[in-house]
Amino acid sequence: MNDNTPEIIYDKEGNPHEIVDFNDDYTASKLGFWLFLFTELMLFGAMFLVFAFFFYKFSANFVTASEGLSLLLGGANTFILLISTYFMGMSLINLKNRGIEECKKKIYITLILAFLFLLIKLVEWSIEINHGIYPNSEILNAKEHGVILFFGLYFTMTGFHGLHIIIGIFLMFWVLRKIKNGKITPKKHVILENVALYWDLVHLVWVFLFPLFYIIGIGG
Amino acid sequence: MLVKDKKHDLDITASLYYRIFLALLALTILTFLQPFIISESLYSTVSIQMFLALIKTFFIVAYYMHLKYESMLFKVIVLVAVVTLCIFFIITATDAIFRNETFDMFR
Repeated sequence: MNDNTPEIIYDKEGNPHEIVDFNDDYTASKLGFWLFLFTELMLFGAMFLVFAFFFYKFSANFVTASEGLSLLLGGANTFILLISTYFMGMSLINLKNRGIEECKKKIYITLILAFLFLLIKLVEWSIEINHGIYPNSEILNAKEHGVILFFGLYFTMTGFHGLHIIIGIFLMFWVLRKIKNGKITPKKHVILENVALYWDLVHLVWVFLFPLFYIIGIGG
Repeated sequence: MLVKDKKHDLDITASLYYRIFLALLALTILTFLQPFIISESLYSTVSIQMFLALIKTFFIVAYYMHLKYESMLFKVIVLVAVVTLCIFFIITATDAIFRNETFDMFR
């Protein structure tokens, strides 16, 4: 095709539109991201599957091990993630309503909450590690089989979740840079929308992690 | 061509986001209180907790992730993912429950 010939696409009403840039395809960008979320669901889903299997086999051990976790710290992180997803969603609404400064402010609040989540997680892990509870430690290996499995899953699943929080922090800084450079605007916001979707998934995973690791110790 | 979904801009509002946030907050408080209010057995606790988590999932996916306002294609993708995961869970549960039992189909 000649480079100077414009490529034409027709909408449902038959109106012609000149194709300017395939990279700005809003629906395709979101579709691609939803497919990525599909893979994330499979990743965490497989881990929840392993948890469910061993929880069925070693219920009493899982309850005993869960009693050792701090409900206060886990609960604080639950509220932090809930509030952070609200601000992330609001940043997108602000951007669409042309409130770029408001949008940036909301992303900064989300970032602070994400760092706070990591800090609390670090304190929580430090407490466990100081008590000699970490994968393959002598103290943990001396405990019952179900307790070893519980803490193995606890460190793996909350570790993977924490890794997703760290990736989310990098993505938010990336989004802020793109807003500053004018690459994300009230008319071109699919990147922020996808990052907000990612943050919602991170929250969604915690919605299931929290009761399974922290609440069963009280309810059992 | 820039394809833009105008329906999004019309339906997702700040007040709706705030109302969903309050609903999620109420459910989270209920998640905390449930074991102290009703704690008959481990399995009832787990069942109630998973039920609460599923309600929260509905609110997050439908409103925060905008799935309610997406086209049928997006809804089908999510449905396929959930059904696939459920199949894995059902097959594994069958193995976990019936292994070495009378109806062990994996023997």
